[in-house]
Amino acid sequence: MDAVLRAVAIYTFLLVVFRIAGKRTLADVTTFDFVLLLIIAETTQQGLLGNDFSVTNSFLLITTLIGLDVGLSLLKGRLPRLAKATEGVPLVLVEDGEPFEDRLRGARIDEGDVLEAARRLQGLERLDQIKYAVLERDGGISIVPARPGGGG
Amino acid sequence: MQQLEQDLPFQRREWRAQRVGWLLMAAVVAAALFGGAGPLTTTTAEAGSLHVEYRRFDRFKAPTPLRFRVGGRATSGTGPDTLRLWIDRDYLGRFQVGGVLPTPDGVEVGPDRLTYSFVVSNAVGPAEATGPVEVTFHLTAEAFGVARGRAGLPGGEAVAFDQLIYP
Repeated sequence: MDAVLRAVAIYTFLLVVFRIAGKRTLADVTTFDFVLLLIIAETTQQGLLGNDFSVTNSFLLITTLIGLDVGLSLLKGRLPRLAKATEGVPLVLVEDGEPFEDRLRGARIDEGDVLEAARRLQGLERLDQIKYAVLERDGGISIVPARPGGGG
Repeated sequence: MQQLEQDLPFQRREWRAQRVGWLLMAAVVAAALFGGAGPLTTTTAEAGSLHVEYRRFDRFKAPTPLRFRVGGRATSGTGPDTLRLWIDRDYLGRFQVGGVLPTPDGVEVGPDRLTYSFVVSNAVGPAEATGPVEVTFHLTAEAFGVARGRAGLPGGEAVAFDQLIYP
């Protein structure tokens, strides 16, 4: 019983902490963020296993965690408000080449991040080539390029 | 943009909630810095010549020291004296007893308590009171919740000390 409670507690805690940390925490791909995620995985291990290193305990924990994940996704399908609370909503950051400064500030993103996404995803060079830049729910930035010749 | 589920009021509430979350996180870290093994957590309970130093808060499966100090005791001067100290059995059951410093001479089992006996040297001189002696129990918490500690000298003073063990 112990193992199931630990798994539920840690799953819920990680969910809450990463929501508080913000979307970009999971989406950032600098080397340090990668290292940080590895370290977090290590700190979780002891809390999950306790002193019980049996295979049965591992199976129990894995089953509980995956089960929680499946359960949560089913629940999100039925309760849109839960989906919003756990995942957030997308956000338009740039429209027709004009960035929304307050939204960039709120999301803790700078224009450089938007331009990097534009280069990476669409091969665009300048802000005015962007029709829409959207901060997606998973923290990534997606780009809709402006149609050549204006309009759209 | 068509068909984008943007929701600005929700977004602003989310950012506000995040800021509250950051404050909570900072408070937790601050509490841990000052608590745990810090100066605010360790406290003493005393009764007469018996003092016990313990941590008010500690964590599951974390080592926690329990220090008893027994004040000056007159000796008979004819040989090593014995210090007997009893600890409540229910309390000890919530911990794993690691080392005891010094190693007890013997342990007696009672219905509700364990009585440890330690040999006290009287190298000070005949019929002179010895200084306070210290006995340390290195415990590891095995159950979380409130641990109600009771300990004392047989037929003499007793102390009570409560600890909260986080899971």
